[in-house]
Amino acid sequence: MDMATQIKGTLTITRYSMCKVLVSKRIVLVFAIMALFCSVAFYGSTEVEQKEREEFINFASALVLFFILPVITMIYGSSLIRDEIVDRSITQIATSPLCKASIYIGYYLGLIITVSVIMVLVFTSGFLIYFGEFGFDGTGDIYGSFIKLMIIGTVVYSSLFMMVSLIFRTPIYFGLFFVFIWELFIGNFPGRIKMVAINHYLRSLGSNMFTVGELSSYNGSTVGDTTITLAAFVTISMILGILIFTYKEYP
Amino acid sequence: MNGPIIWARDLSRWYGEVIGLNQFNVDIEPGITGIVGPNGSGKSTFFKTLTGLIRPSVGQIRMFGQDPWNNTALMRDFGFCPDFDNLSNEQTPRDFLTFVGGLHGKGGEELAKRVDEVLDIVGMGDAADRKIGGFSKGMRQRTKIAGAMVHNPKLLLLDEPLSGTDPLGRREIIDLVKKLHRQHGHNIIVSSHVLHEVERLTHQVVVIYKGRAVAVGDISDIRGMIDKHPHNIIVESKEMEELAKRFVEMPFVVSIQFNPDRRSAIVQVQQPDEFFNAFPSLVEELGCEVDKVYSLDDNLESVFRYLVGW
Repeated sequence: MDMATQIKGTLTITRYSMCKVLVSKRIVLVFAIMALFCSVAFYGSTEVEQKEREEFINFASALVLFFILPVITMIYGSSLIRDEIVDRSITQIATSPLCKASIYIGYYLGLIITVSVIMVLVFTSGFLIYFGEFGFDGTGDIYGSFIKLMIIGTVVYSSLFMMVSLIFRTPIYFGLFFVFIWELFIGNFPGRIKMVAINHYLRSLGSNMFTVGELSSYNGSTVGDTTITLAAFVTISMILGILIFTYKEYP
Repeated sequence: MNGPIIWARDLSRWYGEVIGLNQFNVDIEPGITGIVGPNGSGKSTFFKTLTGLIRPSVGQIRMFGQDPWNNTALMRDFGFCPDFDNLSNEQTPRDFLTFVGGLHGKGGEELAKRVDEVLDIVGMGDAADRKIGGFSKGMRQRTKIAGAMVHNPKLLLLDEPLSGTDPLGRREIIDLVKKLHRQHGHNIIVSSHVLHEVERLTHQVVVIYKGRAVAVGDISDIRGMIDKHPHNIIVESKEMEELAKRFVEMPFVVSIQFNPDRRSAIVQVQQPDEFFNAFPSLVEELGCEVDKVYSLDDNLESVFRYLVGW
């Protein structure tokens, strides 16, 4: 296997999938979500009389981290490869001299880069609107922590939704179930059962990043356990995804 | 390499209860080879198996002596132009070829030069930076063919490249395919459901029907087999009975069957070329009017049915 060819090919697919995500009609949805978050941020800024970091952390985590992030990742992650299988445009890539792992990683990198950029744009726009009203003193750590959590969430959710898109013909149904039932419902169960939801681990990380707000008081897993669990989840999802992709036929 | 570039033995592929290929056996030698068969006969399934996009259900297939399934090294040796349009309307041919070149690990000056070269070969140099969305079917096909050859493969697999093109576009693609073999040394396997189109490209054909290779070899031999098969010709005329009396005197006419209105008949002939040669002078001699004359067997389906002995 020629490593240089594999790397160049992977980067070509990364660029290609980034373009595909950005020029798809679904980008309209991103703008709508951005407008929603900006509206909420603007409304929030008019409702409080002084700078309330806690208020921002609470609504931004609920809206961005635990709703917009999984929804956006689901929409793009579950359609990126699936759409190409359906419209058969994957033929060009599947008949290239790239091993299936390189192809899959290329798609994955493209997905996480693009979704991360989208999430940063969505969050930043709301952040600017909210704190623009009061000034940005002491908000750098909030901004940085959200960016870190969003990127980690993107990496984790993307690995899941890409893998699932190879199993189901209509992966969006699984995505809707996962986001609205699994994550939002089971993820908020009392006791240990919530540990099967990804957002439990994002909350756990958030509890170590924020000093105020609901996230700061979340009684979650340790940073070490969270890191190991999320890393294992991504690794297993990627390996499964690559195996399915490798042995899948493209008629 | 000596021996066949493609080799298949007892190759079968099912899609649930639908048979794509059925004990397909073939040896394809270097050069241009035409795969001819009606729609749904298994041509595209053969290409998909050949390119490793699908696995055979049973049997074996080899390209350059290697199994194509999940064989990434083999992907360098062929370029595939599928039967469907996989081009983005927003891209230019240069964008598309640069992307395909990138998939083959090429980049920079070397790739840019190769892209220009390939675009010139397929006659798309002038349209290199125009959006594909505004292209004719023929231009799109030539762009797809360029995509198949950007990495300079030994073998080009062109699945229905003439499909949907106008007569001028067809002629350009036929000339291009011949040029790619003669001047650039590519081995080419090209599929079509139109026998005479393939005949203009090559004499080496594989006739495929219902997933089986029913005839393999020189097209003139296959044509000979077809011509020996009794053809059914419909003749419509007000003087049908007069015509029929003369038809029975022709040695190559096997039978005549009148339709109920007795103004048309099905004439079964052994040598259709002889019949069509003799027919105009007969009509002139009798001074009769002929409304229609056409061969019921002039479609590939009947030819293939004959070849498989149905």
